[in-house]
Parts: sequence; structure tokens; C-alpha cells
Amino acid sequence: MQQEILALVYAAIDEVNAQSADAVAIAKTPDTRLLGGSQGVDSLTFVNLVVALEEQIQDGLGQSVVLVDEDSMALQEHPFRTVGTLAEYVEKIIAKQKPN
Amino acid sequence: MSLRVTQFVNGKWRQNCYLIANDDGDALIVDPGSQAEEIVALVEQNNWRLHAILNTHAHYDHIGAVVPLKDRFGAPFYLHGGDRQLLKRANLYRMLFESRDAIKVPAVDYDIAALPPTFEVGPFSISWMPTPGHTDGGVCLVIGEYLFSGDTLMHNAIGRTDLPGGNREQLLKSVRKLMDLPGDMVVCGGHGPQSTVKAEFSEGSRVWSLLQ
Repeated sequence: MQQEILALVYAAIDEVNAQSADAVAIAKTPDTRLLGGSQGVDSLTFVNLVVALEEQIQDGLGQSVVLVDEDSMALQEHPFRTVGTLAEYVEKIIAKQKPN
Repeated sequence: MSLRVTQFVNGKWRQNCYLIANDDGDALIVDPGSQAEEIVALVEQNNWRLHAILNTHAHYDHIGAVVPLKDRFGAPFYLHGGDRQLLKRANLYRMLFESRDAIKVPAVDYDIAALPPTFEVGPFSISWMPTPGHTDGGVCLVIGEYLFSGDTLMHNAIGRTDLPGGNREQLLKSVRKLMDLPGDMVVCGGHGPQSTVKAEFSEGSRVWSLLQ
């Protein structure tokens, strides 16, 4: 599952990189910084990435998810620091949504 | 029916929430963005009966006070279905553009897209037109002599189109539709001061030049 989720995140990154010809491309590695710190992406790029990823999850896994909500904002340490932590968070959300 | 429109500027982005009341104390609220307690106080001080909360679109700075108002007054929430997905993402935008204090995302009671071009809420007659471009489900509302144009049309400005759901060509087409409204209609935009249709579209104005 972990690899499947990471593939969806990378597909979303491809979409965003294709849209923003003039911006620095987001590298497809788990360590790539997203939010927080000076090396993260800008707000607009992050919005586009989250929207693209939610659509990838819908298309690829048939699950409708909202990645940034009251729950994720309440977390002490937010899950959007890197591509890797984002993928881990997506995996948790999807596992939570699956019926027992 | 004579209407009294109160403009309540709120939040980091100085968003305009509008409270519309008639002489009998019936009221509507359009785009309650934030500072819910102050909006509640305005309603209570005037002894208004709130019939509905209507939104021109679902960006977080326009919907942040919907849930507390629904909870307090039990008024239904109206939004165009084209913005449902955007509504769910309200906290994404809030986290990036304002703060990590989450807002409660409201349930939609009435999908404006499913309503006729003119519908009644209590004693109010409300006309709506689809004006996508700033967001997919953006609408403009006409109540009496007032146009509630959200971020489609503001004084000397039109909305941004660089966020997901934004489309400049579509927005310009939507703005053009508003040119046919009566010149003395009051434009109540999502940010900035009120204006009139005539002033916004007069030759040489900023909006007029954007449409050329």
C-alpha cells in the first residue's frame, strides 16, 4: 500500500510540475520539503498539489478524501512537512476510511 | 419592500459580510466570513429574524462564520453545488493563507443550482445568476436594488483566477453578464466599498478596461 500511495503522490507532483512551467519543479523523493522552512514550496503550489492528490486518490482508489481538515490542523506536528510524511498521512486516512 | 443593507467588514482579508433586513425585522446574511460573535450581536441588537445564510462562493474567508450562525439562529445555508468541493477544502486555504486555527465547514442545506432563477426566502425575493470564473460555483445574487457579487465583481476589481477552480476567460464572461443590470443597482462586492453597476462599467473605469 505504501508504494501505491507514494505513486499517487508522485503522479500528483507530475501534474503540478507540468502546470508550473516557470517554477522550480518539486522533486519526487520522500525527503522533498513541502511546508515549513525556507526550502518548502509556495502556498499556491501546495494548494495545487493537495487538489491534484485528492483527485488522484479519487481516481486511483475510488475514495473521496479531504487532506486538510479540522483533524489534520489539530495535529501537534502537521503531516505536510515532506513528500514522505504526506504519503504516510494519506495512508493513515485511507486506512481509517476503510470499513472494518 | 424597502431594504436596509449593513456591510460588516471582517477578518484578515477585510471581507464584506452583508446583513439585509426589511422594515418588519426579517433578515438575510450574505457571505459571513468570520467574527461570528459580532455578526450575532448585530442580528440580536436589531431583533432581526434571520431567514437564511447565502454565499456567493465557498472560499474560506467568506464562509468562516456560517456554522456559528446556523447554530445560533437555525437558519439554512445556501450555496451553489459547484463549490461543494471547494467548501470541503476551506481549511486547506485557511491553513496556507491565514492560520492553523481550523474553521468548521458547514453542511449545505440548499443547492442554489437546483433553485429557479428567482426564489423566495421568507418575504424576500432573490434572483441568482451563475458567475463562474473566480470559483466553479460562484454566483451573484440580486435582492431588491442590490447586487451581491462576491469576488466576481468588486469596486474597481474582479476576482483572482489563479487558485484551483479559477478561470480568467470564464470570469470575464461572467462579469460581462452583469453589465446588463440596471445602472443604479448597488454593487456589494466581496471586498472593498460599495458601488453601482453604472460606475463599475462606465467607459474608462478599471473594470471596463479589463473587459476590452
